[in-house]
Amino acid sequence: MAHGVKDFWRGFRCGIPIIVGYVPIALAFGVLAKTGGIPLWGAALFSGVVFAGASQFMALALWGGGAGMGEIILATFLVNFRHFLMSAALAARCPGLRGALRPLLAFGVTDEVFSLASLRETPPSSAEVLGLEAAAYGSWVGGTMLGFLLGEFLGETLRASLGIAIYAMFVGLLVPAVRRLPRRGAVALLAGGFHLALVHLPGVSSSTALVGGMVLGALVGSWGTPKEEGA
Amino acid sequence: MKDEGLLALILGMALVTYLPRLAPFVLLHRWSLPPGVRHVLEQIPAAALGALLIPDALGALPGHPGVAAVGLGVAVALSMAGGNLILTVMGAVGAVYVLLR
Repeated sequence: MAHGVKDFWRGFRCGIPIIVGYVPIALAFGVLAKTGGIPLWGAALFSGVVFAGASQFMALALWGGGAGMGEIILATFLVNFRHFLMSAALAARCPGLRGALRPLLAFGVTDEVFSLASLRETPPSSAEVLGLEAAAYGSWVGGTMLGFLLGEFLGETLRASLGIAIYAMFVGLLVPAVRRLPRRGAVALLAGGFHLALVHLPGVSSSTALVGGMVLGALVGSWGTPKEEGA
Repeated sequence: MKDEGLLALILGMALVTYLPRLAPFVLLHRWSLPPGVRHVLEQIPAAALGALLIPDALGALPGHPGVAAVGLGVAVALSMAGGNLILTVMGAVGAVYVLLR
């Protein structure tokens, strides 16, 4: 058990970059929720039980625009379906993620948690992933409430600048991974290219285009590449 | 009335977000995947990051695609220089803040 506690804190420390990346975005979400007339309990609940940034921003925009509940929930399902792929990839790579913790571990699978956990050299243990997720979750929910309560003191320019944080984080996750294994760069470009192409097809929603880009990028990228490594 | 609607919306969103996250952990516990499927799944991390970045990253700062490009360039440079993730994020936000001011 002491082993598990140690692993938890090691995972939590690995999650510090996620805290730095999440807090600004969560602040922005809190600010936006307040501006959109969502009460504090609603903003906190969004981050606390949905825990999926992109869909939360999207829901605020749609809710504010008068969209129906069913429509927003369907869009959320599509936008967040990428986590199904991530959970599948994580569960396949880390057979150690077992036991009673699985429902909890599954709840915390976000883009950043997944990227950090799956791009590491060695598969992490359950306790490490849980530590990583605790760091991400705490900063996401805490940041949302801080943004709601203190957002107006941030200043407009700083709030606008925070928009780059999530993408800088994606870059910071991708670049070292590509340097370790250059063909990952080709896979990323392929997926981005498919996403870009799908976005411009008529009748394809933006969330379908995103998931489609990921799936096509991974499928095409897996052709003609060695099978054993990373397993 | 509006509060009840909001509560129902959030709980509905939570459900449709959680189930896809949970399903693979429950199903893969029982079955192991064929090597071909595993191989495709191993490409998912890079593919996911690529599709999340392209093309949306340039729209990160509405009305300022040029500034967003500089911010992303700073992130790439810091990350290539071996900077850790914290430095990469803070450097990009700092550069964008200076340019937007």
